Amino acid sequence: MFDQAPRDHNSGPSGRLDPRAGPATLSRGRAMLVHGGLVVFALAILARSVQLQIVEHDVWLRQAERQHVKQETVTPLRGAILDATGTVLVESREQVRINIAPREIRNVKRKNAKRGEPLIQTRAVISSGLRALNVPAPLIRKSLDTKQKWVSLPKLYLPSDVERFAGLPGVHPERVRRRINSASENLRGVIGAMNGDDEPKGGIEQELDAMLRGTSGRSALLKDPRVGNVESPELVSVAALPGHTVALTINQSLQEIAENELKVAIERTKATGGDVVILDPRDGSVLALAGVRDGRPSATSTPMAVPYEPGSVMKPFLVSRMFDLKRTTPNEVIDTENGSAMLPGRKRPLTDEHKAPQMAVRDVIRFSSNIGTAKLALRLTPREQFEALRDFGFGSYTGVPYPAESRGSLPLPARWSGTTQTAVSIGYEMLATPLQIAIAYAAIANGGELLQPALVKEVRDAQGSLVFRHERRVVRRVLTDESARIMRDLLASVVDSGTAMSAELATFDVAGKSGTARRGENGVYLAGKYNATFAGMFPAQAPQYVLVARIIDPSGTYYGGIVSGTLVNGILQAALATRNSALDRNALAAVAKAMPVPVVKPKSEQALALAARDSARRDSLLAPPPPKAEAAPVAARVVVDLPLQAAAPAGTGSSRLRVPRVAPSAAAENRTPREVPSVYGLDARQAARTLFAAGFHVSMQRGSVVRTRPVAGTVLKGGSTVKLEVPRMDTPR
Amino acid sequence: MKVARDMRRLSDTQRVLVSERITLERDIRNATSRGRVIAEAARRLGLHVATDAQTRMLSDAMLDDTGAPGAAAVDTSSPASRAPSPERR
Repeated sequence: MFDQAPRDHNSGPSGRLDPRAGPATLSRGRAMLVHGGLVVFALAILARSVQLQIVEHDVWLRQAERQHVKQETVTPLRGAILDATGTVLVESREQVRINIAPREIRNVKRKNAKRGEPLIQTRAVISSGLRALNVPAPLIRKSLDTKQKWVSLPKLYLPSDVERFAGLPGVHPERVRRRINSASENLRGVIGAMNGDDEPKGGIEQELDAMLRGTSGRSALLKDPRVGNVESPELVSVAALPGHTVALTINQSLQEIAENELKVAIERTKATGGDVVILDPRDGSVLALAGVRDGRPSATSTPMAVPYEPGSVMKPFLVSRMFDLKRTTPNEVIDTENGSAMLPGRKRPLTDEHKAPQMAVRDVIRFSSNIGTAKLALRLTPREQFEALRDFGFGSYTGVPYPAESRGSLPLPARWSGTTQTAVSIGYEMLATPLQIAIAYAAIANGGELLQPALVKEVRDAQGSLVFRHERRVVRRVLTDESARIMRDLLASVVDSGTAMSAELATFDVAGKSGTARRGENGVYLAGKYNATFAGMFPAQAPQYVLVARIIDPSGTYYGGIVSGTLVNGILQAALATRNSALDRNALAAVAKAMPVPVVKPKSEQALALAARDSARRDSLLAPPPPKAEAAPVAARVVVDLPLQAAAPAGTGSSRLRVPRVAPSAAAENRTPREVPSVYGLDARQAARTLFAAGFHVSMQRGSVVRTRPVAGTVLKGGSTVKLEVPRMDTPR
Repeated sequence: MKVARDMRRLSDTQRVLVSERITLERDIRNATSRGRVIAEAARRLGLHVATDAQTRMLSDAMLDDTGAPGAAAVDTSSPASRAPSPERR
């Protein structure tokens, strides 16, 4: 029924191919099918090739690059912070953190080792290396303990210190950038810091972060199995731009002087803290800022950030404004009511330390009369008084680039109570920072212009191009030049013969005002707690420094003129002896007082030759021992006994003052101790007569102003010789 | 690749040296700071910071005078120096 199925011609009876048979023939259809399949396959390969090589070329190229090249963000080097002279205060440095994975530690072959050489004992190498880096023994044991997965050493090391660990398995050095601080401790509050996340915290670091930070770059690294990722010169990288370099106006030498003298003053007075501000009144540059609280440098710059009730250092501002408004003159006599007066709006009488029935306005400043100042202030309306103090910058930010700056407190007149007008005039019921006080005194020092204080001198980019430079910026004129000059004269008398004689120098005139204010906390004044302040300018004739020094809670003597005046005196003496303390020595030479120098006997040629052989070092070795510190003078409680009926009518010059003609009296021969009288405002002839009438011999010397040595108020035996300095043109004939 | 490896090695060396330079400069600054120098000068040489009475400021004019050939340094405040010189008479 079924036919034998036709067999393949090439197959044998078993169906296998017969090799002896001829070429097999395919049916045409099958052949077409196979060829077609091959063509389609070839086309598919071609199409895929086209897709990969041409259409998707860039995509695959990028993927290949991604696999062989690693893009890494390059963190820019943060800019340095310098002082005004170019000394580096803060800069960035690369350091290394050592991480150890104990379980990965294994012995390895030495590089280029021959067969059979022993392996490196990695564990021993790590252990000895860590010991050399002074890592504590327990931490070394922990780092090698295989129970631990990962140990990070807390300290950071220099890259050169950790080179010994290079290539060791289990040791993972991690590069980190850290700010390295060379600034003195007190400046760190001004500069600020960087936290662990490399974010700026406070100070200049925070305020100028945008400039200091720089711009990140991108680096293309080739992945190399032998040495890790390496930078290829053929790959395009974007270089990181380092941050700008910021130069501050701070003078590091002066800063160190201020810090040291503040420390000494705090130790001497057993105070709880203090502040010092030094600035240049000519352009408002802040030269030094120091603040100590509880025996330690404060983390925030307290001279800018912490306001307080300043007390009598505020008196010159209202009085000088009244000179401007022609409401008083330096010679107008004020009734000071023997040191106790009940003034309008007050519940308790206002008192003076220096009790006198009357004082000229110049003596109100000189002896810091509360009654005299308050009576003058009552001539102004509350609004005028508020405007005067506001114009000097109180109650407002000064504009210094410091994020934590305080603007103090000066209440609006609408909120004033009955006592406020008199209280504000003597520096109570208001708050001011030492920097605000300094910049206000700078206005008196520079002829009446309130300046914006500057902390940043200049900013330069990484190539050194100037980006910013501080220029003198006048906020407003607050005084006429004439009023400022008169007030400088009055402030010079405060140091010369008033409440702040401790600040006096032998060779230069210093001007300033003391302030002793009760210190309050939570609205209550604390018994026996005071803020002792001295605000001054140096030299008095053409000030180059304005200094504000404040001592908090001094023990014993607490008068600002003595406690803080001595501090300012120490700062000035050290600054004069320092080469780079931001002083114009040429200008100082012009105002230096002549010092008596013994006439040198001419030396023989042989003596001169021997002297020439002496080196500076030998001279210094033979230098005399340091002079003993003079005891701080006791608190001046001079009852003003005006020597010349100084009660001249307002507006009359001192030259019109009448001096009683006193004949040489028996008092001249009396040796009982007595005070050297004041000769302030007198001409040479009047001064000589006054001294003679008081029972002293007089020795005339050339000087810049009429003044006595020792200063007025000093107790001397009758008949002693008092040196009277007089200007050249004023020498009596 | 070799160039890339060399570049990497050199840049590592540069980083190490820069870091060391900064550290050394900081140490020098600390060692020459005013506080250190004054303390050492007082301890070793018995020096002290001059008081203002021991300090004399020289103006440019004074320095110019003393710079003249054959001129001796003068103290303008001393009576001898204030006496008119024979040449000026």
